[in-house]
Amino acid sequence: MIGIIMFFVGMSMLLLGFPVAFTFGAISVVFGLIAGIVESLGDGGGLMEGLQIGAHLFAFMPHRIWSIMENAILISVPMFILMGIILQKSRLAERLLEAMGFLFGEVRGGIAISTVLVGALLAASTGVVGASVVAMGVISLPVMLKYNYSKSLACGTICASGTLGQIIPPSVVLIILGDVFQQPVGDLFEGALGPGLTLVGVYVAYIAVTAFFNKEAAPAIPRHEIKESKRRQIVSAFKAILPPLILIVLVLGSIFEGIATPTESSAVGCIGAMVLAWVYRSFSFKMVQEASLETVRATAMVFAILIGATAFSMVFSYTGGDEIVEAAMRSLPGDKWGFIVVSMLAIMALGFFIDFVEISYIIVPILAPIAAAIGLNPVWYALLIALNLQTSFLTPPFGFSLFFLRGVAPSCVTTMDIYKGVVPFIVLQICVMILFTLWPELYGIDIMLK
Amino acid sequence: MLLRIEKWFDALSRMIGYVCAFLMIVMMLNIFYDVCMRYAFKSGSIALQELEWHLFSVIFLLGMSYALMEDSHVRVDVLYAKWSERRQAAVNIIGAVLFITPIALLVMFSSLGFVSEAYVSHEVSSAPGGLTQRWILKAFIPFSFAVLLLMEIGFIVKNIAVYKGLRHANAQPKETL
Amino acid sequence: HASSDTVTWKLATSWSKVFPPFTDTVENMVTMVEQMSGGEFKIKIDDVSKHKAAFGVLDAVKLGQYEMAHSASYYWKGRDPVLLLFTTMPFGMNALEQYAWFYRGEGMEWMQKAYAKHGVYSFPGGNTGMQMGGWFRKEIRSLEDLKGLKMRIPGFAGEIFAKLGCAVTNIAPSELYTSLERGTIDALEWVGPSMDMSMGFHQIAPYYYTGWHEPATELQFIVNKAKFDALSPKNKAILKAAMRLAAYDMLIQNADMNAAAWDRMKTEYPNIKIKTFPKPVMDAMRQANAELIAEESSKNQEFKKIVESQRAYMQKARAWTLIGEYAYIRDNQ
Ligand code: NA
Ligand code: NA
Repeated sequence: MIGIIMFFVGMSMLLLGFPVAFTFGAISVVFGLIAGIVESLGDGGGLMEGLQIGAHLFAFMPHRIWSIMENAILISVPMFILMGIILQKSRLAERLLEAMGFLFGEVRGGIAISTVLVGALLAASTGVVGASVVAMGVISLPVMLKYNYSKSLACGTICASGTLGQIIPPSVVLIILGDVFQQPVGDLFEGALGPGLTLVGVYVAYIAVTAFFNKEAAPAIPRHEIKESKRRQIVSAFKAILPPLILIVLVLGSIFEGIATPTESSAVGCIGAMVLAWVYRSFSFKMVQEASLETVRATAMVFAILIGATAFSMVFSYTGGDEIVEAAMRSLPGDKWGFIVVSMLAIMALGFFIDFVEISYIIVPILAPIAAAIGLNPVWYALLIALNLQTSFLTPPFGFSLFFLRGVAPSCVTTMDIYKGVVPFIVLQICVMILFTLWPELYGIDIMLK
Repeated sequence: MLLRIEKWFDALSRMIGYVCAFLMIVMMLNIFYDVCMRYAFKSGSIALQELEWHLFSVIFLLGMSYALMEDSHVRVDVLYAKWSERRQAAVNIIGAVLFITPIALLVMFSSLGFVSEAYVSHEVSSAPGGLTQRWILKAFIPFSFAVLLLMEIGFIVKNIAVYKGLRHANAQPKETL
Repeated sequence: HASSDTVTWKLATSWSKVFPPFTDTVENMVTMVEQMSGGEFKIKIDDVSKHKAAFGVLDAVKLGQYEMAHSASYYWKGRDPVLLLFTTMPFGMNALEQYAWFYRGEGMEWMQKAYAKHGVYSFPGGNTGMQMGGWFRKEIRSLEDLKGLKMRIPGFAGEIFAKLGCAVTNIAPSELYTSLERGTIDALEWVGPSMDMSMGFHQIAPYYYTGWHEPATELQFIVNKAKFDALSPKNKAILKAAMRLAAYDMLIQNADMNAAAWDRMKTEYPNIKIKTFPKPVMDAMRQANAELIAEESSKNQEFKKIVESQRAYMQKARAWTLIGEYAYIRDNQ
């Protein structure tokens, strides 16, 4: 029972706004000590003995931290972040947007569709969401506003296209889930390609349909305002797409073809990104240094949470919390469906307030063994969680995408515009999740392990 | 005075940041070199492969303190973002004392035995041709938490300065992920 | 609530959730202890998914966090090279010979002496029997074929392969199948049909080499010294009997599982070719093995003495094996 109380106290303490990693660490200390005291009193011992038992529990921490250190798969996390930041600093997003921004401009909804396609390209070349959202917010948003797009449609398109980065490989979420589920990262990358591209298709379709039925929402750019000829446009778009496309094929291709492990590919990708930066004439040692510093901060942020979470789950399972959750989850009606639906709703609900790193390291490790016991295909279940976490980037009040767009959007765009704009995209994502659950064979995958 | 102390801590934290950033590039080149050796020359050194995760470990362990000073650790800012700077600074000061100190001390002290064990037994990698002197890497666990405790002081000083209105909190964007 | 004659222990394993026959062995042992003690001696099992420190269990038992553990001795070779010797040795004794060394020769004595340094007792914890030499995508016809071969093979055997020019690599178990399938590695070593089957290596690497490097891999039960000494004589006897019986049972279970898995493998994948390394390769391995042992022996007196004890025992035992089991099988094919 202590574990369950601990969980809810932990979640509410997060609302104080102190860094998540340390909040988890602190909660685990307090409840570890409480558990020690309860145990000691139960055995007829005293308070001091109880504190000792509790403190003793933490003797396992160095081993747990060591197993994070030894985990070679996780090295690809900083490497993919570094690759993403270098590409961001080489202004890849800006180039793509400038070249493709008007490509479909004459069609209603055309700029938004171009934005989704650029989002997909960026997604396949990095594992980082923030950079894409910021770049599109800075470049695409003003253009869409200028041509009288509905503010909410423009914002929703940008936020949703930005989050594609986490489902279309390479992706930090998928690496982390691969670690938690002990599944090959390459398999998750390959498996995520289908759902990721489905999302792209669904976004484009939604924008096209909205623009078709609602003439005000996404007007076409008047012919005379497009200065370049169609041919020139296609050529320049092609020129902009080619270098990152080569990089994508290099990195993802080498993983899928097994030429290299994800970690190896990520380092090769970093070198590739530097070459790309050099081609774009934005390479400098200063740039590499800044990108590296930024990567250190992002990496430290992720792994500090991992350390806090490992302390938390140590105490949680020591106090029997995982057994209670497992018992509850397995007694749900509807066989596997009860578990699938409840676990997905829980993740989605948590996604409103906390982000994917905490969910992946606190919640998912509790769910993964239950899924395994039921016989769910771990790859399928991990991908379903990835799709779900995708949604957490978009759900207010705490969603990375919203946060980044808010930071760069002009003042005429209200927070409400952004919130309203993402709602249809959240619904679309849930639809894709349901599609992936009901017809997984469309993606060549089984729900149950054979 | 307060701002002078803060400056000193900032300089130290930046130094840690630069060391980690440098190691990050070294790690990237290390992995790249290993890939090239394996595919082009069909040879591999276990020691160099192990060096990869040794560098990675040092980066994230020490990086924790740097990220603390740079305010890069992720927060659930549903309420926090709406609070005044003063109130935020108060949360940070109390949080640092009550939340960081206990876990850092516990991890630090509970890992001393872990390190000395490795040192006394001359522990080496159990992989063929792996790295020796394993205690050095293991020592980074207590060391990094000691650094974290030190930087916690800097973090508190920084927030006292904000609390007293000596300066504004720099509203940096959160790390991109 | 705990009356004075009930004992509740915790046991940490180095295995992830379901990993038969390793995990079955632990469960058998625990069930037997509980039944034999009439429910007064209970042991709770925590696997890696719970304690997250597969290789930290020795420390955990030493510090008393867990009263006992189930693991493999060679995991701690990096910390104490002699511990390697209680698992198995390349070209060493087979399971029966090695059990005889443990229980009738000097094995147990050496093992307790080595583990006493770490504040624990150690007991044989189940044997896999002969392990296979690994799955290869290409046939090994000569020493030349080993040069530059990318292979995942941990431990002492890895050092031997490295000496012969292989590019030995570390790859996480969850990435093994994919790595072999896609050619990130050319070969790997796992256990034997019983445990290789579920990994699926037979679907992607047709050459299955016979064993030489782990003829009798013994697992270990590790028990905190002070906690064991504090047990009542009855509970001590129960625990020792249960550990020994569970260990024996693992050898049997694995023999059964190997037979069944091999039968299925060769029916479903008739292309699998059983190979033995050619004589020059075997000779080079034996040579490299001798050199590595000599090297460690020159640095470490205890290592040297245990190796000598094993050699002497094996010489005696093998002479009989050749007349007994070997001659019988050879002459009755
Ligand atoms: Na991506
Ligand atoms: Na959210």
